[in-house]
This record gives sequence, structure tokens and C-alpha cells, in this order.
Amino acid sequence: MHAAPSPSAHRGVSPLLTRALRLCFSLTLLVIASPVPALGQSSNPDSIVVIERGEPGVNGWDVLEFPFQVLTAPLYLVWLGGEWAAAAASDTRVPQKIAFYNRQLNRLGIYPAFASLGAGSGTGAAVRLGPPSSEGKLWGHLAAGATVKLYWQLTARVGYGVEAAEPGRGMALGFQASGSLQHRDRDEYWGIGPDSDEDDRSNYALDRTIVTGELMLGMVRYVALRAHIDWSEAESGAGNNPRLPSVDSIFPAAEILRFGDSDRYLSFGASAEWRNGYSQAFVPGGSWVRLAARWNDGRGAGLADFSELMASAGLHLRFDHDRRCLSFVGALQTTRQQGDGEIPFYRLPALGGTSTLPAYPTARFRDRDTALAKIEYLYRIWLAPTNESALIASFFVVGGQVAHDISDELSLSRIRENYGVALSAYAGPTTGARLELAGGDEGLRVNFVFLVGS
Amino acid sequence: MRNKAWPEYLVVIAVVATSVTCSKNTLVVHDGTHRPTDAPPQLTQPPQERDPNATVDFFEHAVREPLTYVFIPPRALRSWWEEKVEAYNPTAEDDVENSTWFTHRNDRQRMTAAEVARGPGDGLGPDVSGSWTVFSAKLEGITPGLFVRDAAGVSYLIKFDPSGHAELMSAAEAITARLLHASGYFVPEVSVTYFDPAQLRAGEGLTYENALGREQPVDDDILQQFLRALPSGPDGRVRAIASRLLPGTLGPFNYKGTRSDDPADTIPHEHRRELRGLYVLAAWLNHLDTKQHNSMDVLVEESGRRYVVHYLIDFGSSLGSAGIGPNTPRKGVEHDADLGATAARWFTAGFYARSWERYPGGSTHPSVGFYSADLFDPGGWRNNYRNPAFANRTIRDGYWGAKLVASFDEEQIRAAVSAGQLSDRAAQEALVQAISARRDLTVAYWFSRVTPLESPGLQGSAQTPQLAFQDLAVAERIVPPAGRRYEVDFEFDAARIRHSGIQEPLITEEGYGTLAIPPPPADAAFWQRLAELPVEQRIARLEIRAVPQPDADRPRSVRFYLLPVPANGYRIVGRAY
Repeated sequence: MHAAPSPSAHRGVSPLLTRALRLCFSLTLLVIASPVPALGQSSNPDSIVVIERGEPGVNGWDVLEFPFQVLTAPLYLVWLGGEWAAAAASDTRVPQKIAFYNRQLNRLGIYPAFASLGAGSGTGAAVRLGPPSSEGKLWGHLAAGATVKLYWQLTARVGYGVEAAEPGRGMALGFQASGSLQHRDRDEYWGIGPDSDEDDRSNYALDRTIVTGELMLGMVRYVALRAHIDWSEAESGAGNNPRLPSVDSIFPAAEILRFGDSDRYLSFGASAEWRNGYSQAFVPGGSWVRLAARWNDGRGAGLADFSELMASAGLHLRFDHDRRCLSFVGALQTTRQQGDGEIPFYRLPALGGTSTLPAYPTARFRDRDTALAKIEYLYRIWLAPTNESALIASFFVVGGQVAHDISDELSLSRIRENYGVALSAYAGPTTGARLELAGGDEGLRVNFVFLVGS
Repeated sequence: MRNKAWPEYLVVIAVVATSVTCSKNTLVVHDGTHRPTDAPPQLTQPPQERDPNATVDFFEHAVREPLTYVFIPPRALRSWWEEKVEAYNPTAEDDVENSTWFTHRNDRQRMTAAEVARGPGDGLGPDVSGSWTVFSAKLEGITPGLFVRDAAGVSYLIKFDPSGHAELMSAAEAITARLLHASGYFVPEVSVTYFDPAQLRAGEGLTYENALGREQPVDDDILQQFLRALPSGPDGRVRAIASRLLPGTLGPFNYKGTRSDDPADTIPHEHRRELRGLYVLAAWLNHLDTKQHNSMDVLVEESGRRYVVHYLIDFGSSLGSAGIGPNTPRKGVEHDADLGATAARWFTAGFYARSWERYPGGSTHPSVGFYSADLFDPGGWRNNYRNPAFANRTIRDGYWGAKLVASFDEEQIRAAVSAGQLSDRAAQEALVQAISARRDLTVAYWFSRVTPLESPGLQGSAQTPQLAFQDLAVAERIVPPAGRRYEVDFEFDAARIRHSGIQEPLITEEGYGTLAIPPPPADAAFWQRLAELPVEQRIARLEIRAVPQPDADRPRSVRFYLLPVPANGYRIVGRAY
């Protein structure tokens, strides 16, 4: 038989603890406040007198600071842990070892990196095999990568570049051929326009094989023309994200264009790009215009031929000794079906994600046409003494909409606005990471992306 | 009830105690003679060697300490509201005694140009007449170096200029070492040297630590391969900076706290006048890398006594050199990781900018780098990352350092620069002019913040006493002698004398002048009564403040403490700025 603890027993322990705590607290205060002589303040043996004597450094401010010191003590412990780790890393030369092995791998033509394998794929590890591409040489490499979402990609590229007579002037010619295998496990599917509910969320898997040939012609200093031909084969299937239903479980099959089918396309495309003073510095400057068109010839039953037209332009007004910049970027994309059949849903343009509407998930909105406009104010807040790295902060406003036809596009009835702030850390002009907080009608969203060669 | 209330009483007691012990500055007064009082006691046990981690030191001072102002808001308020505590070790003349930290040199006894150029030691550097034996090597990394024993058996650390910037680092190191030595600090013997690579031999069992921390053997072939990669002159000789190795090294001293195993080290380093005042010299010379790892404690044994001497070492990141390349205008204006400036830019959307960000200029001579008076702010200069002693500096410390800087004239600066052996005459002259210009800015800045009356003495009779002085602001041509006025406050409680007024004495071009002060009472009863008082109650206080120029800030006053003396009127027993 167990006796219930008496209330007095509780009362006996608790006051003791309370008194002990009070005692510690009061003693601490007393020690802080007491006029302890400072070291080195003993009177000078040569003195004949010491006047205006007082012990420095101990006063009421210490009492004010004390509660904050107690509150931040856990942070301090975390800091000490960090210091210990930093000390251990520097003692064991971990950064130097990483750099050393990286150099050794580079010498063998192996370039490991942290990167993303496209929008919404998450961060992962990638490795490239082969010498770096350079003008005037035949080059080739193999690249493989896998992300935390278990997406993977395998790419082989060969190319040849003819160096211009003078850098940036005259003609330049380049050729590139590549083959790529992609597997994406759990891309999100949000419905694709008027035939499905835009807010229905599911996921799907996609396997693609792409073979591409590209010819590049740099005509004058700022103009580049590209022509390419590619063959692709893709197959969609059930996604494996356990938190989301697979796309085929919630949509009628008729609403999921070409779901589960194997699609083959032969595509021909061309693009023209004009740049004026564009520089990929930490704070970008200059302007650019890019026009691209592509014809996609469906090779299979029920597969529609379609054309794509893409136009984008950017203007980066740098000022205040290149410390700040006002950036305007606009992009339009339209898809036109030719004849009967269906365009696979994943080939339609989409908005959402860090590069378009950052307050929404990747490919949140998908339809035949998209329009996007972004205004961003960027400013440098820190530059490394060696000028090799920097922190760039920014504010941005983005507006974009998807539309089923041009009349929808012009009505701006489905426009979505996002706004936000971002902080980018660069370890080189094109290598870094961006943390952004974006808001829209579906709430706030935090995005973190690696910027590699962007 | 009483039990519940007693902690609250303690809080009240604590607050009262703190209010009555609010900091006041200690003032030590004595008879005005300089006597070595910081003589180190005999060490019974040699101190342990310190080896602090450089990464931890950086994060501690560059990140954690600044962040405490965010996480502990009263500290930010305190730094703004509360006056900083003055240094603990000033003498009655507001100076420091010669010690194992500092020895008065050029400010007390003008050094000749040859003495400045020689620096510590003989100034000759390693003996190049014979072969050198390399006994340790660092062949990889940003700043490779060799430890060699020269033909005379003396050991040196040999370092090389960064690629593409011949003479840059070596000249900066040689020049800065000489000027700091002449100022009074302990520095190793540092010299520019030229040697033939063929005279170097790999010592027996020589290894170097590769990037992975593994020891790799080095033979003569590997050594020559390394030396061949270095830039050399037409005669094949390689230029380097040779720093004579200090014997008995104990590792660096921290700029905060004391060394627990050195009984002579009783004054917290952040409160040492010599280290706080070093800020002014570091700013003048753009000595950016003033961290604890660029200091060295050395155990000295002399006449059977052992004590620790504190050295400054490694001046490769000074003047226009960043050690691994030339300085940019950013250096000296902002810490490498300046959280305050970064936050200010962030929260003002980039409208806030430091001076370097809108400065169009850059370095003009590759062998000098960027070292200019253009962006130089003597009171706002910043080293690579926060130094606790520098952070605690007060105007008094700054004035003390500025007097050291002011002790150099152009001839001495030219002599120090000649030790850099710059081959480009124009670069050498540009450097002399830049050092001189920064000297003038430094002196003007700090001398304007105090009432810089020096060399005080009492003149006149016991009934018409006068304070004679030299006004350094006039002597340095910062203000003209004509029209220089002073607010004079005299308090002599024991004699019930209080007198205030403005005086405009006649001041010479060199700054010499006198101020009248009230005499002590002549009656015998006063002197009898005075003799019965404790000595601290006999002292009169004379506070003098220069009346600033119309567009200048009000400077701090100088206070002289006067002890009445029957025959002479008064005797000066102390002063503070």
C-alpha cells in the first residue's frame, strides 16, 4: 500500500529550492555589485598620494546586463560549441583538406559541386567529369547529380568553340551536343487551368531523355544567335511523395493531359540574344533582350504539335558607385497547339518558385501562356576585402499570371503579386546562395537556393 | 515574511552599492620624476607556451563580441552612455613608465635618422657571405616562408613578396617595424635582404607540412624548385624580408586579460595605456593585422633574473600591403567583417555607405599599394578585426599615442622608409609623403581633442605664481599662437580659493607661454593649518581648457594638481588630460 505524498512534503522541497535559487541569485548580484578592486590598481609605490580613487568597471550597468546574460547563456553555450568545432576544423585542417582534395580532383578533370538540378529539385551533389569548356578547343564532359529529393540527372556534353579574333569582337562560333537522362520523383501538380481546380495538389514522377545539338554564332560584340535541334522522350507516372496523393488518384484521367503516356518530340528552335554592357557582378548592370522560338513535332498517337515563343528582357540600372541597382525583368511565354491531339501537361509553361513567383511552390500555376514582370532593388551590404565575395540584399515585387489564351492574358484577371526581401551571399560573381522571404495571397514562404553559374 | 523579502533587500543593497562605486578614474600623483616602477619580479617557474586558435580568435572578436551588443541591449546603451574607463597604468604625468611592454625612445630623446633606419639590432639582416641552412619550411599556402640559419649561425624567418607585387610586403614590414621600434615598442630585428638561391641548403631531416598537415621531406632539389618559382632580379638574387627569430618564445599575448602564469602581468591588457595607445600608431601606419597572433611573449634571462618581454611581430599587413597583395581603399575604413556597417547598410536599404565605397582612387605604385591620407580618419580607423585594447581606448590614450607619432619628423620618416629598399624612387617618395601626411592628420586630430599643454613648470614668485607650458597644438601649427585663449579654473579648498576666468597669454611660435594662478595665502596660520591636513586635502586643482576655434569641438581640459610649498608657492604633483 502506497501512501500518497503529503502536501507538506511538497512544501518542504519547493521552498528549499526556491531559497537556494534566491541565495545564488542574490550572491551573484552581490558579487557583481561589490566594489572589488581591479587588478593592477594597487597604488604606485612612487606615489605620495592617491586621490579621486575609485574602482572602474563595476556599476549599475552590470546589474542591468545580468538578466540578459542569463537569458543568452544557452546561446553562449551554442557559440562555444561552434567555436570548438571551428577550432577542431582548423586544427585538423578540414577546409584545407577539402580544398586540397578538390584541387586534386580538378586536376583529374573531376569537378564536384553542390547544386540544384533545375527548379524545384532541391539541393544536391553533382560531379562533372572532363576538362572545362573553352573556346578554340574541342571539349567534352560528363555530369551527374542527385538531390535530397532523390532526383537524379546524367548528362554528357561535347562541344567545340572557335575563338573570336579579339575577345568580344568579331565572329565567334560554337557547337555543342549533349545527351541527358533525368529522373524526377515527386514534382508537384497543381492543376492546369480551366479544366481542373488550380488549388488541387498532387504529385507525379517524370523520366526524360533528351538529345540536343546546338549551334552558336556570336555575330558582333553584343549579339548571339543560337539554333538547336533536340529529340526528347518523356514518361510521367505516379509520384512517390507520401504526403501528397499521386496525380492519377485525384484527377479524372481525361483532365491529366498525357499522364502515363510516353511522349516523343523532335524540336527545332532558334534564339537571338542582345546584351548591352551586361555584367554579372555581385550587383548586376546593363541590359539584355532575348527572343526564342521552338517548334515541337509530336511523334506519337494523340500527341499534338505545338509551337513556343519566348521573349524576355532585363534592364539593370546600377548606380551609387555600382553599390546599388534597380532591376527590371519581364518575360512572356506562349504555347500554341497545331492541329488535334494533346500537349503533355509538364510541357506547358508554369509560374511559381524562386525564379518566378517566389511566394508560391514551384510550378504552382501552369497554362498555355505566362507573363511575368519583376522589379527588384538590390544593394550591396558587405564586400570582402579581397573583393571576391559579397552579401547583397534586395527588395522585390513580382507580378505574373498564366492564361489559356491571349484574351485571358490581356485581361490580367488571374494576376498574382508577390513581394519580399532577399539576402544573397556570393563566393564569386556567379556562385552563391540566396535566402528570400516572399509574401503573396497564400501567405509567406521562405526559399533557399544555391546560385551556381547563374 | 522576512525570509521572503531578504533577496529584495539585497537587490536594493546591490543597486546602492553600485551607485556609490560608480567608476571614477584613479589619479596617481607623485613628485614628477620618472622611475622604473614596472620592474618585473623574478620568475620562479617559466610560463607555459600559449597557442591560441586563430579561427576562434577571429570569431570571438569579429562576431561574438559585436553580437553581444544585440543580445544584451543594455550593453549597447552602456557603450553609448557611459564614459570608458581610463587606462590603469598612467603615471602622474599621464604617461607610462618604461617596462617590459614599452620603452620611451624617440619621444624622450630624439633618435638620429641612422638610428631610426637601423631599428632594433644592427639592421644588417642575415649574413649573405656564406651558405644558409634551411631548418624548417612552409612551402605551400598564401604566405610561404623559410626558417634559415645564416653563415654566422643566426636564425631568421624569411618571407617573400606576393606574386605580382615585388617589394610590397617586405618594404611595409621593414618600415613599420622601424617606426614602431622608434616609438618605443619591442619588435624583432627585421630587414630586407637579397640572397642567391644557390646559397640555400636543406638542413638534415628538413620537412615541410603540406596542406593536409602531413610532413613531407625536403631535399635541395625540392628547395631549389621552390626558390626558382620566386621572382628574382637580373642578377638572380631573390628579395625577401628576414625577421630574426626571438629566443625563448612563449606564444602571443592576448589583448584582453592577463597572463596568469606571469606574476608581473597584473594589469589587464585591454587597460594598458601602451596597448590602447598603440591604436594611434597602428592607424597611422595602417597596421591592420593587430591581433594577438601578431604578438609574442619572450622569456628573457638577464643577470640571473627571468622575466617576460612583450613583442609586436609581423607587420606584413601594414602601410599599403595586405600581406597577400596590395591594400584596397576599404582597408582601414572598415573591419573585414564589420557587423555594424553591414547592418547599417542593410537596414538603410544601402543608403548608408562608408567613405571607401564612394572613393574613386586606388593604389598608384604596385610596390606601395593603397596607402593614402585621403580616406584616413585618425579616430575612426579600423584594423582587420576588433582588438579589445583598441576598443577600450579613450581620448587620453589617443593623445598619448599621438605624442609618439608627433615625435617623428620627415627626416626620420624618410630614414625608416629607406629601410624598405624600394627600387622605384617615385614610389619611395610617395610613401614618405603619405606617412608624413597621415602623421599630420593624426597629430591634428588628437591634439585638438585635448588641451595639449606639456612641459609644465612653475615660474614667478610665491606671491605671483605662473604656470609655464608648451602648447603642442600651437607648436604643431594646428592653431595659431595669436588669440589662443584658455578657460582657467582654480580650486584650492584648503585655502577656500576658487577662481575662474579666461586668459589670453602671449604664446610663442613654438607654443611656449604662461598662465597666472592665484597664490596660496601668505599667513603663517594657514600653513600651520595646512600641515595638519592629510596630504590629499592639501592639493589644489588647476583646470585649463583651450577655447576652441569657432568651428572646432570643445577639447578636454588638462588638470594640474598643485601641492602648496611655503617658499615657492606650489609644486606640480600630477596632471591628467
